[in-house]
Amino acid sequence: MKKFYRLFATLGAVAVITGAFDAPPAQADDGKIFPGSMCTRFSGGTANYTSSGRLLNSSAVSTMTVLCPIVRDLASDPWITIEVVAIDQHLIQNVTCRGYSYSRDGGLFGVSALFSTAGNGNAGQVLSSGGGIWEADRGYYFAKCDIPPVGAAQSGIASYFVLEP
Amino acid sequence: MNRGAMNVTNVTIGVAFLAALGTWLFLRPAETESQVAPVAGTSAASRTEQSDVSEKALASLKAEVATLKREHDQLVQSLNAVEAALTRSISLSVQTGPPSNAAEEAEAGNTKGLSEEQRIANTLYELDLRLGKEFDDPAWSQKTEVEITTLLHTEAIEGSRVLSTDCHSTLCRVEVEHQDADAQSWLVDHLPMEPPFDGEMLVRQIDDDPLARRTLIYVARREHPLLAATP
Repeated sequence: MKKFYRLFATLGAVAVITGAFDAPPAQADDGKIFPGSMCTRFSGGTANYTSSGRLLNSSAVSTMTVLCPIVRDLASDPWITIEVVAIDQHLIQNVTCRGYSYSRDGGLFGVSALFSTAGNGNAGQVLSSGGGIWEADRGYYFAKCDIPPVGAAQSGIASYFVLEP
Repeated sequence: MNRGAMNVTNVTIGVAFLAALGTWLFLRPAETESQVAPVAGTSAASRTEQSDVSEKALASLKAEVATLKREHDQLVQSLNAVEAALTRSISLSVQTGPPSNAAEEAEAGNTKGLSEEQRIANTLYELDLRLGKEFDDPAWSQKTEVEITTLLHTEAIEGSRVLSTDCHSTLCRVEVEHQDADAQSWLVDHLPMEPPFDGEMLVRQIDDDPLARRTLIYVARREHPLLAATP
């Protein structure tokens, strides 16, 4: 019986020590994914919201500019990256996007470098903004994209993603 | 007798000379007036010339006022940045107990305690400082300034005009003046996407004076970060 208690106490001590010195769980970055249909048309083109959650430009002549809202956590650092999954079916023009970071009152804003599709086709192309952009406490984010008119087929946004610290 | 006659003659000549001189002096203003009279006859041409001169002087004064405004803005930004730095150092000094090195370092790099206005002022100040310290790469800066001026020519941005464009090697500062809030919003909503506006940007709308709304645009050279290199 004593042996049993001794074994139990030893195992308990090992468990406590292991727990005390164990590394804390790694802190994961915070990512959020949005369907393309979250974007809204700002100017030009004709918005075609599909049942698959995409937003396409069905205009044959006009480029459509869309705003894609990004839900931001109370993070104190800029985003790590914004990715837009774009469908580019235009033979010449590209889908181009930029990330915007506004102060709370909209008086100052940072804009990421332009990111753009290359080539065309039915497959989604992942466009990445990169990070390091200016940000304000409790400011707000969105992506702004230009979608070319119909080429081989309609172009648009399938989904987009933000990664925060 | 002859000498007396000569003296009389000399006196007469002297008096006559003085009389002639007095008459000339008396009549001179009248001549001046008579010279002015023909000029009055060509008053229209004169007025046009005067108008041109006035317009040039006005344009020169406007340019000078714009320059002074810019310098004023930069000084205000510098002042705000200094105030922010002082506020930060005072808040550090009133902390009870000696802070640890780690806490000091964290506080030094942390601008979160500042108000939003102070942070904005700091950011703009740092960008101005960086631009001032940058060496000039004339091949890039001159080409970029021309491209910016071309993209933002007056017809393209109705109701706005570019006050200044300053590029060095990786950064440009562009200042645009707007006639009203609509013109300012239009420009901000339709910023060009073409080079050189395809790099990272920071845009500040200044509307403290409704009669002189302005927008500051800082544009980084493509593949160069706008803020990471800021000291």
